[in-house]
Amino acid sequence: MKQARFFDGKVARPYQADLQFTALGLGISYDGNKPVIWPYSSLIADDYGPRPGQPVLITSTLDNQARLYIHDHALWQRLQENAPNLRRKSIFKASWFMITFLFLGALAFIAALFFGWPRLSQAMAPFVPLWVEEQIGDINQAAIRNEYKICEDENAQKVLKDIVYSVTPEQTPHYDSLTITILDSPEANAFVMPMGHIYVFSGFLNRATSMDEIAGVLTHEVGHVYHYHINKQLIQDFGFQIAVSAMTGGGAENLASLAGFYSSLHYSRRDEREADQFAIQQLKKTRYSPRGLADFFERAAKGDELLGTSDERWGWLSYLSTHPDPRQRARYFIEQSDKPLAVTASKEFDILKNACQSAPAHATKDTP
Amino acid sequence: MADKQRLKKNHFEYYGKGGELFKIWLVNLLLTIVTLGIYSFWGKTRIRRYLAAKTALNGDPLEYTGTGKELFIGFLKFFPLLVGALALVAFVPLSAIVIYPALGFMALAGIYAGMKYKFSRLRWRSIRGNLEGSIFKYALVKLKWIFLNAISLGFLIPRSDLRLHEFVMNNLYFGDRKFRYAMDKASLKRLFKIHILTLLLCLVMVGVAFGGFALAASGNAGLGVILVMAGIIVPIIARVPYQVSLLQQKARVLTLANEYRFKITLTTKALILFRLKMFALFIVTLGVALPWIINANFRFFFSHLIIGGDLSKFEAAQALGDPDSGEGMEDVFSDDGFAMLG
Repeated sequence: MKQARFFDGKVARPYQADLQFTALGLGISYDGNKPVIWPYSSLIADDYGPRPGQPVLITSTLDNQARLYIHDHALWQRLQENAPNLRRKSIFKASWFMITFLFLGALAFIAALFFGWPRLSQAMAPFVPLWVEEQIGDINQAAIRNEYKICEDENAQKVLKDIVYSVTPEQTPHYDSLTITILDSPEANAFVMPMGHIYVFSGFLNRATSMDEIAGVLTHEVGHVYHYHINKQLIQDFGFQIAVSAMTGGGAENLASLAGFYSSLHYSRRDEREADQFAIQQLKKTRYSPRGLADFFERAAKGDELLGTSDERWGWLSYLSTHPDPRQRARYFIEQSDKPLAVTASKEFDILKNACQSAPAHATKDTP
Repeated sequence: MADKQRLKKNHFEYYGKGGELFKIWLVNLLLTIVTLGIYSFWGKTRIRRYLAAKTALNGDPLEYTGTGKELFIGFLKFFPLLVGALALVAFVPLSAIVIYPALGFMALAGIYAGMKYKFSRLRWRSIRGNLEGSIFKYALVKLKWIFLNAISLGFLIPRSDLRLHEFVMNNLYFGDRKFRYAMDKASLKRLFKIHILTLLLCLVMVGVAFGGFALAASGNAGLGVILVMAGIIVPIIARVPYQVSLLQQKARVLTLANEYRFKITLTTKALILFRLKMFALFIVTLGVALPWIINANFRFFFSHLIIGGDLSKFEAAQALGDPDSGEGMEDVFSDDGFAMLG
């Protein structure tokens, strides 16, 4: 008979209990009551010691309210001998099973995030509510107009609009409200924003060597609209940001800045490939040759080798920093070209080549 | 009620060791990194289990029965709500007019939800605590006092501190035995005196700090820095008498089962010295001594808490009510939850 301190889980009264190590389990006799038998297999030991004042706490899965405290080291040893498979819950040892589970769970989460989430984003992209796109579109429009000078060359805008509508299928989202804006800046780039707002840098138009090239780049941008790439990116970045923030415990950008992502919009290689394929498919239906895009990418690839002005070098470098390998894409367009460069000189081409060079450009920072 | 003079004094004992807590803390830190933060719920639980198990009242240790799983599930319940709300604000900025106050309200309700969970998972002599009362009612009371404190420029802080304490304590049970607290005028009067004096001193020191800035800007950097430092440090120390007095008043008329009374023996000098020591330890060790500081805090606080009454005769039946998941609402809508979202 050994003593321990027992609490029955019904009242806060402490009992001095006598323990018996029987064949059926641990017998606990207290306060003249009929002994309680806890089978050894049901016991759980919370091991905080034992040392003076720090007893071992024993509970049973049969009664999750009652508590047995063993202060005596010899008694604790005796219990371990009688219950060799006693479940231990040491406060100093983390469960390896749980750690492995959590670690694998974390890996699975990362895998799902990086491989599954982009695909899911693509599937959800067409279902982004219009009001969400409008909100983001407005925020980005304002940001762009604040950062760049808008070139109001109406002739150039009209030519660009004609090109865009000649390559855009009617089922393209925002077909009726596509806009084309020329930004007065030396960058050799073009991009698209939510709600079908297409932006073209005057640097690109001024450097273009053919109408096919301009039409090719514009068709590529329409491809992003056609395939809902912006919405996809919106959902994808939103998910990534939440996941990364949650994992790192903060430090990432605030959710409210989500819309700001699109001022430096980026697409995946898959999106670029899709937009390229769209461009080939649509250009083949028009008088323009995909060869123009090949020219564009070949020159982009040589961008950092150019001996031009610093503005020119910077223009191409800005393109290279946001797009995949242009050499590969140039080869792709050469292979896919069904006709030679068709339009190298025309009145329209002259208008675009000289876009913004005569028309007064104004800083929209000063405009409401 | 038993005669105050004849009450037997019962002390808490705390056996925790900084080295032991450091081991748990370090393992938690590493596992939290490896599991991308998910382990933190389990880590928090291990620390709580340790602190409770190393605290004994009348020779019987406390026990914390909460689990990491409960905390994690609680977090999962509320985190999507926060994400959804903030996403709505991101896309419809005007919705912030409704969303931000709602989140603030949820954060206040979360405080009480967290308290309910923690009390329900704390046991002594196999009997657990139980905090009743509506989390939303608590949030409304808290909101009312935030508003009143704001419009009274902090004048009503003592009253609000005691009223909120009253709300919590009058809903708190140990087993089936109720805690009771009734704010008395004597407590309030004493607190007000200290509050006004320390508040005035703090305001003066804020003025001194601004004067220091002005001096530093006009070229007298040495004196300016001293005044700025004084303007920051003095208010921190100046509020200690109020904090000590508040703790004493909170305990003074608190009873359990109409029989057991509470007393805080803490003094202003002891608390200032203790805080300075802990602050120096934290700075010198660059935060590595945090487990020792937590340990010292527990030991310090419990060494100044006395329960009057014969605990050997104390009887309480098991508590009713048992929240099924963790303090997710508190975790998510507190600063921690927002920090996760940057």
